[in-house]
Amino acid sequence: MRRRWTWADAVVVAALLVFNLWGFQSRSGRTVSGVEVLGLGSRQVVPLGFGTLRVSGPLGATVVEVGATSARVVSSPCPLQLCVRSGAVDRPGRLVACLPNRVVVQLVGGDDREGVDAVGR
Amino acid sequence: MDTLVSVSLWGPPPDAAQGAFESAFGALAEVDRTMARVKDHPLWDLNLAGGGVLDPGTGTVLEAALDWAETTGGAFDPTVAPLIDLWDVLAGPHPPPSPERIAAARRRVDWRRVDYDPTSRRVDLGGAALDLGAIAKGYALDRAAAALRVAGVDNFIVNAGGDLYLAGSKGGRSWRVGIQHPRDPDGFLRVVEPREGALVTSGDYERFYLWEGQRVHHILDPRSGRPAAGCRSVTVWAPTAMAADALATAVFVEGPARGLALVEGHPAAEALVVDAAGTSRETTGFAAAAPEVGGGR
Repeated sequence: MRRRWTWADAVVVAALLVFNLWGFQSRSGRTVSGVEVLGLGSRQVVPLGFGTLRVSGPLGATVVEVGATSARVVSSPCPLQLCVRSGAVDRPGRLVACLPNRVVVQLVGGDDREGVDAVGR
Repeated sequence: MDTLVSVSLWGPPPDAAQGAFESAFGALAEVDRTMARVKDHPLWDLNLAGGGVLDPGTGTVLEAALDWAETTGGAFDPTVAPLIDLWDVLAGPHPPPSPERIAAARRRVDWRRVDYDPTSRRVDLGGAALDLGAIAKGYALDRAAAALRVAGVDNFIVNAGGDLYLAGSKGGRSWRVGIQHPRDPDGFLRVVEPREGALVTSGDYERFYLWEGQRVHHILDPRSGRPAAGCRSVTVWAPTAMAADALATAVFVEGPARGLALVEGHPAAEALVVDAAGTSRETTGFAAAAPEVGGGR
């Protein structure tokens, strides 16, 4: 038998939506809207949860993993592996860069903390 | 410079903005090419050769660096390269070097070894090795700002990894900057609207690792050979980014008391320090150079 939609269901669904939207924001209001991946002459913007992508550079392929809340470089042909060791980034503006292979992975989105134009750090 | 640089403009039409961007990034790239201590770059070759003749830009930066080294009593030292290599903070968690290795590296660190003639731009490193990382980024910001002005742009921010040069305004209101809190990644220490000039921050929270509960960070005291321990972050406002950059490092190394006194001795510069206990202190003029949004705490 098909169950009827009730006001109680609507309240639960609305609460879950609000909870999930809140979950995409840090506690200070910075919202990740996607991940920008720059390669040599290429630019892609993919959503969180996209999965794995390969970016070609002068040394070979850098493999980037874009998870549900963060992004990281999984493997890279560069000698020092600093980009891999950097780990995951999960805030807008934060990036992982592989300078030898010319790859930059940056989380994009609003940094609406008190409406600043730049962060001094 | 091992960092991402962004340039934000306000006002010019897209065509003019594109030309201005290209000028600014051209200036930044030239500094990076000549002053990054990276293999096959001029500074690398200069260190290998033990000296040589500098290009004009590197000569300007080295002359300023040696002046700052003298002014700060060596708290800022452009010959800190052996210690940077020894600690290798960017490599991630690993045991800190032994006291013997630190002592050996320190013996090669001394700005007074460097003999530089500004007229001929010839330098003899005297067995030292240069690393201009604590001042060249500031110079690059200044060069980019100059390029933007030549391109006719008056309202801009040049942002090199959180070190800023700000000019003009954004649609009639001042540029607004959040100063990163050194221990709360989501928080600001203060939100300010700085006067035209540079706002440079040095902190122990950007490049570090934890080893046996100790924070091992990248701002090294050339005199002890170890990560400086007196501050969590230092923000300096100055008319030029090169001065702000050098002073931010020197104040961090000197610690809050001597560091703030050092800045008080430079009438054109101001500083905000978070000490090792988390307490904020500032020079008498910092609030005027970088007024807090909302008018105070």
